[in-house]
Amino acid sequence: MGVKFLTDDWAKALTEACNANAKFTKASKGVVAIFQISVADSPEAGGFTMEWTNGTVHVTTGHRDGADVNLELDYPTMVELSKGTINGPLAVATGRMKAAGNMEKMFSLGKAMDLLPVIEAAIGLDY
Amino acid sequence: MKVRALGYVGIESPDAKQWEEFGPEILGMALVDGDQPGSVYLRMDDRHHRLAVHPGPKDRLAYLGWELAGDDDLAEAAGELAASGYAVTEGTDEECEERAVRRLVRVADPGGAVHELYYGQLSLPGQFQPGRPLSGFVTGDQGLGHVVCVVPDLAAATRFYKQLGFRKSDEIYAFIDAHFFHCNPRHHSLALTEIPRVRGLHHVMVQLNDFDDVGVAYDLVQARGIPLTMTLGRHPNDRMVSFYVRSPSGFEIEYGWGALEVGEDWTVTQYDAVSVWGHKMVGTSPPGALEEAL
Repeated sequence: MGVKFLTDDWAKALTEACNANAKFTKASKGVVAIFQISVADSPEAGGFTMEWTNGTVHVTTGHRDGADVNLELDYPTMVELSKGTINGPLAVATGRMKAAGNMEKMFSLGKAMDLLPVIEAAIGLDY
Repeated sequence: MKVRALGYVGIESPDAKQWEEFGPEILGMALVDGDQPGSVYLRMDDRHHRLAVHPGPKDRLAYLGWELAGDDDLAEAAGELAASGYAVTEGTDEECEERAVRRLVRVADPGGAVHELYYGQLSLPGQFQPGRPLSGFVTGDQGLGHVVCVVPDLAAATRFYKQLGFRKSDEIYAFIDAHFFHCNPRHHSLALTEIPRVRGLHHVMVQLNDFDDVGVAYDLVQARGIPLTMTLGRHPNDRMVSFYVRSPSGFEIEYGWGALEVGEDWTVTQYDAVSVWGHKMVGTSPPGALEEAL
C-alpha cells in the first residue's frame, strides 16, 4: 500500500524526500519561489503549492494566491509527470500544461523539478 | 563536408501576417515578395530573404537552411549523409525557386528537425532597404546570425552537426545547459540545449553593425508593449550585448551587437553563467515554438 497521490500524506512524504535528496537540494539552492500547481479533475486535492527556500521545498495541498509561477494541467497529465513518462517542457510544448509567471524562477528550478519522478518513485505512490 | 553559414530560417505560424509589421518596424528587416501566398519573406542584406514565415496551424520550426559553397560540396554532403543512413531528398524546382536557391537537399536530424543544405541563393546587391533607419546587419560570410535549438538527444544531435562540419565553440552549464558550435568566424551559428522528447527553436539571433540600433529597438519594443523576455545584457562566451523579445511566432529574437569572432586557433572553454550582466528573464510564459520530437 503506497501513499495516495495528491493527498496531505503525499505532500508530507514528498517534502521530506526532496529535502533529504542531496541532488535536489543542490539543484534548488539559491532560489526562493512559490509554485502553484492547479490539477483539474483530480480525485484528491485540486492543487498544491511548492514553496522553495534556498535548497529546501515545502509541499502543501490547496491553493495559494500570489505564486511566482502558476502551472495548470489535468490529473492524467499530473500523473504522467509524476511517473516521468512526460516532462514539463513536453507537457507545455504539446499544450497539456499551461505555465505562466516568473520564467527566471521556473527555469532556475527546472533541474530540481526533473528529479521529482525519481524521488516520487522511491516514495511509492498510489494514483 | 563543410557548411559555410546559416543562410535562412523557415517558420510555420498561424500568425505569419504579424511579421509584416514586426519584421520591418521592430527588427528593421525588409519585407519582400515571395512565391507562396500568405507567406512572409524578410530580407536582411543582399540575399533574397533570410527569414520565411509560412502559414501553419502551430508555431514551429519548419526548416533551417545551411549554405554550402557550391554544387560539388552539396553533392558530396548529400552523399555522405546518405552513406551515414540519413534519408536525403532532393528539393523540387518549385522549392528551389521559392527559397531562391540553385539547388537544395533536405534531411531530418536525429530529433526530426528538418535541414536544407543548399547553394547559390539569389543575391541582389544594393537592394536591401531596411524597414526603419538602421546601420545594417552583420551577415556576409557569417550568415544571417545564429539559432538556438532544443534537441531531444544532445549527443546524437552533436554527431549530426559535426558531420555537417560544425566545430564546438564552448559550453555553458547554468540553469540551462547549452553547447555552442561554429562553422565560420561567427562565434556560434548554432547552439543546442537538450530536453528529452522535445525539439524546436528557442531563438534566432541577428547582429547589428551599430550598438545604437539595438538601443533603438529596445525602446521600440517597450514603447509598443511587445513582450520583452530578457533585458539588455552581455553573454560571457560570445561577448554579445543583446536583449530578447518574443516574436509573433512564439520563439524569441535575440537582437544584439558586438560579438567576438573565432578562428582556427579557437579553444573550447566552459562557463557557469549565461550572462556577465543583465539578461534578466522578464518573460511571463515559456517560448512557444517547441514540439514533440521523434
